[in-house]
Amino acid sequence: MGTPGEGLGRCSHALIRGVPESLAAGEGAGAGLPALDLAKAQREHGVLGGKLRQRLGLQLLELPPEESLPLGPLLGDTAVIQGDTALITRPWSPARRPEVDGVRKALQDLGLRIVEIGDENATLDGTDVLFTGREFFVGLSKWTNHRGAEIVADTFRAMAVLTDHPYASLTLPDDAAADCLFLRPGLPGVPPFLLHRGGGDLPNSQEALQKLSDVTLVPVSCSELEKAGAGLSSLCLVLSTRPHS
Amino acid sequence: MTTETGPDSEVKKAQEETPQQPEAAAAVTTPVTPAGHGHPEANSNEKHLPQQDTRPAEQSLDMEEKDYSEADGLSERTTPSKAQKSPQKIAKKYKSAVCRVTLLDASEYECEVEKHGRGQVLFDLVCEHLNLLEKDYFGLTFCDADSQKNWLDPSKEIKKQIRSSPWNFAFTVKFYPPDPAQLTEDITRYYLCLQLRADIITGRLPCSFVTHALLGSYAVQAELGDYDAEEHVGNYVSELRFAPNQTRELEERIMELHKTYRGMTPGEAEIHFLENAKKLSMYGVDLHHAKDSEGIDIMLGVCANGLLIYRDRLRINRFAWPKILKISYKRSNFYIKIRPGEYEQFESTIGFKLPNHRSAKRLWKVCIEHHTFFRLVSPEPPPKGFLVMGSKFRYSGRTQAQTRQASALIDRPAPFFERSSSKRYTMSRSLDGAEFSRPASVSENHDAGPEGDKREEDGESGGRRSEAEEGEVRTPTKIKELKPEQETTPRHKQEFLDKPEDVLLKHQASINELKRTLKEPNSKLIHRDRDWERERRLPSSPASPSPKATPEKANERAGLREGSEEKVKPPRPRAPESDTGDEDQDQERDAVFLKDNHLAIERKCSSITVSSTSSLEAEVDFTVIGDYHGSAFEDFSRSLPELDRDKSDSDTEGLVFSRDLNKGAPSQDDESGGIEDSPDRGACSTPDMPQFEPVKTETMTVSSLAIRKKIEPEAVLQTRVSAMDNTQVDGSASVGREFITTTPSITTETISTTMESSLKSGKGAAAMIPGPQTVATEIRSLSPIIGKDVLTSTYGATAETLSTSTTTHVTKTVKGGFSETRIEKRIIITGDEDVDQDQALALAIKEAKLQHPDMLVTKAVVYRETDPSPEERDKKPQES
Repeated sequence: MGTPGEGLGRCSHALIRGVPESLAAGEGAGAGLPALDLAKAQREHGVLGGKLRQRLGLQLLELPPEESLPLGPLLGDTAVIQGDTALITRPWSPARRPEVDGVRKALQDLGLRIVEIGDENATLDGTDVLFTGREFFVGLSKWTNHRGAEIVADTFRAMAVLTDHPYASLTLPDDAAADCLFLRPGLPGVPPFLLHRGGGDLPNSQEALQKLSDVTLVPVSCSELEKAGAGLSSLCLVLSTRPHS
Repeated sequence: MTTETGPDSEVKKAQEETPQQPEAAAAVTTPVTPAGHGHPEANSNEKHLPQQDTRPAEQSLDMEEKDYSEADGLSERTTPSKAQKSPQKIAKKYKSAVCRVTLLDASEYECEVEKHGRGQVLFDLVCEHLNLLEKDYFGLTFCDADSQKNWLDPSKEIKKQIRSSPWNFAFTVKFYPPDPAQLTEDITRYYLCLQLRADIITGRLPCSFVTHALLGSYAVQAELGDYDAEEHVGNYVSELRFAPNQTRELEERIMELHKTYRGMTPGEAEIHFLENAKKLSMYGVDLHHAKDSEGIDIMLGVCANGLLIYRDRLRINRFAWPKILKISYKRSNFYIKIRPGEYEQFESTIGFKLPNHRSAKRLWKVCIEHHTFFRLVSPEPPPKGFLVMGSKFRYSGRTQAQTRQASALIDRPAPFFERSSSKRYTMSRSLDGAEFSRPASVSENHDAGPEGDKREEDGESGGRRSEAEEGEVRTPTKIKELKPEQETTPRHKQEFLDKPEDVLLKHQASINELKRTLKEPNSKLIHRDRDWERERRLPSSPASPSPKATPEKANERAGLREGSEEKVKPPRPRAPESDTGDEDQDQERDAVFLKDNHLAIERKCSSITVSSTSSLEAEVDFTVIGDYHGSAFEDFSRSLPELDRDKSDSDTEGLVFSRDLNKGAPSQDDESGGIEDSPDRGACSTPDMPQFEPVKTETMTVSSLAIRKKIEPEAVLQTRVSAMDNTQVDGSASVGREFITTTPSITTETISTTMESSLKSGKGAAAMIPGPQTVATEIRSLSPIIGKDVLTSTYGATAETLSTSTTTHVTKTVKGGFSETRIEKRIIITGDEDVDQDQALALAIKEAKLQHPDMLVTKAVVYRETDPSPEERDKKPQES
């Protein structure tokens, strides 16, 4: 168990999945999302991978894109990872359910304890889950239902401790700007990083973000991928292979 | 101790009969059945563990005798409470009743108390038996006829509370300390551990396997001591209970862990146990069944930090105490009014449906008590007198801050006690769980469910009846208590025998010091730094709030005593208070403010007959914390003429409470039913509504709160709470910093309120507090009646034939850099014609001036209405 919050963001590996061409034409267009510049999206994805590897020093694993899975790059939706446990989700859209397979395999190979959702009635989207280091918040949405939230609670029961926390809050003008990644790569003495949407994407929120000291801000852009519904938390899965060290 | 005298056995007979009634039988299981009778479980229990059952009793008897001999040496000790005297000796004089109290180790303690004794008498006896000094965390429960658990109010007669139920009680933890390591004595922690082990086994406190194992292993270490290879052979822990569904695997894990604790004392093991147990998310959560506005079953959990809302097993929302402005209930509805968030404009009120009126009241009481115990430095005095809106119940014990201070003075050597818990938790007792349902086991108690719905009618009338009784009991006492407060010390000895502070210490000096500290509700309770729990929870307040608040309270009280001539003491306006921007202080001040009002009322009432109080209480069974609700206030003004009638009735006929009640109760229902439809009300609501320029709000909060008002006689505020609490991404959780967000500057246009002659309209007020880097708050209450804007504060006081009430409307406007505060007060004076209303008004205005010395009275508008008789005046002070 340890002190809650202490190990938050501890990570050694990041997992991403390449952008298939079908992302431009596929589901996104069908869902009424704006058309997407594939080349730009792939460039953004590449830059993100580069930052994770070089700026943060993470071991980067990249799953190959699959044309049959247009939303495959949004692999944050497919698993909830905390400590040594990975809960493989059950996406709301049946079309996206095959996405979990590749992710499961990769996480298994990294030595994580894999938990599956057996319940046919549960739907869960990984990006609807927020772990604050002390407790889990699960957003009930079109993608995540109550049963799904219960399964999160069951899976991480030993981790959810303490009833009340004095969170300080930082309010950002743009909703999307809140989708940040707080990462503490294993290097000792290095302040934690906050991967956030940069000024090119969301200029209004930059000033507020600058107020955060004690974290190293790493701006990245994903305005093109955003058109497919992606955010920073859905574009990569981060984990630590030594969660307790 | 268990010697049976005549009255004792009589009572016993009565009790033996009671379990025959189906309801009572369901309610009270094992522990309450008299020994050797009826219940098979009780029998088997005794067969199994005869020695264990008797041993502790003997032991504590010894201790008690020792206590007495010591106590006799101290003159102070014997004076404060007759409860400390051995009950048998004085039992001859009084009629006494035998109480059976199930203790935390499932043993039963029997004692006699005087039939008309208050709850405190019994509680003190039990605590003495348990050798417990830090007793404020604990309480006694009993089951009512509906097999619902109720807390025994120490300040009221036992008999009036339990009514026809048997005199069976359970000793339980009432306030789970958030930081058990701060408890002073091991023995207190031991009892807390026993409670938690019971909570775990009954499933009330769910844990994961790992936690079960960890907690179990500490329990074993505390109980069996170090692992001993010779003594502890085989599955030596299988006799003990650790989990609702105990597996062999769990027991093995526990034994593994136990082996590693060599050298750990029982006290240390218990600290470890508690340090882990306190982290459990359901630690100390008192659950109540309810439905949300959509009729979905939820649970409301009350705990040290606030109110939690669960759906199935998930917590779907959380309202910390500072976030809650007001708690109220009306019939079977329970409401909380929520402080607006950083970027939210308005307060919101959320309503829940409880199974019945009584469960709503019970929940409300639990909330009041928890809030007071954990959030306030000293308890608020109960509202007294004539014009009390709703229940007069207030928590009257010590707060956590006070009990910590008091326990810091404990200087007795650590008492010896035997950790004899095993008998409660052994497997040899049946495993069906029923054995653990003590007379008032907490978890099962709010389970009225659909059955409760059926009983709703009964419950409600029962509730009214109980209030009538309470009123009857309290009335004479109250008058005495209204006497000046300075003379307290001798008086306390007689009148507040039951106050918890008296039995605490053996050392004369300590006792005296303690008394000095605690007798006066407003004594300087310095908020010490070791109260870090509080500090930690409230990072937003740089300074500890209480030292500021406390002297202020004292001042206000002092002020009140002096200004005894004024008819009216208008409330302080809200806006200047909020200027501090400090949530906590606000909260503290709210409390102060409330107290202010109540005290004013109290003062007023000292001169009048109190006879119809209870009828009033029954009529307006609706109470608020923080500020008064418009509807309650309106109900009030409406019922005033009627009240007078009632009063004159009772003046001539004496105290006929039940009748007054019956008359009063339905009429109030009619009133409130009619109010909604009243056409003039509808008409006036529109012009009266202050309008605001929309404030730009941008938050990352995913939660949404939609409130829609339903115009129905019940005035239910329909509330829809989205399932998500708050998903603000928050890098600071680990960094531990505070952020102040710059906000877009906010300007508000305030439309000055149109005054109309209908005085019963709900009143609106809005406070805008822009300031340097302060976020503007707009407060808007959704009055169930009209849904209009805010009642910042309403205040009422009544003399024999005169009632005055003040509604304050504070508006703060920012125009290009400087701000203007506009306070509108509406003073409603209701009274008979022979009352000098002009004088009353003059006094009210004078009072208002005193209240805001820096303000200018710019306008006073007077409306006079005869016959229905209220007179309305209005004046508008403006800052120059």
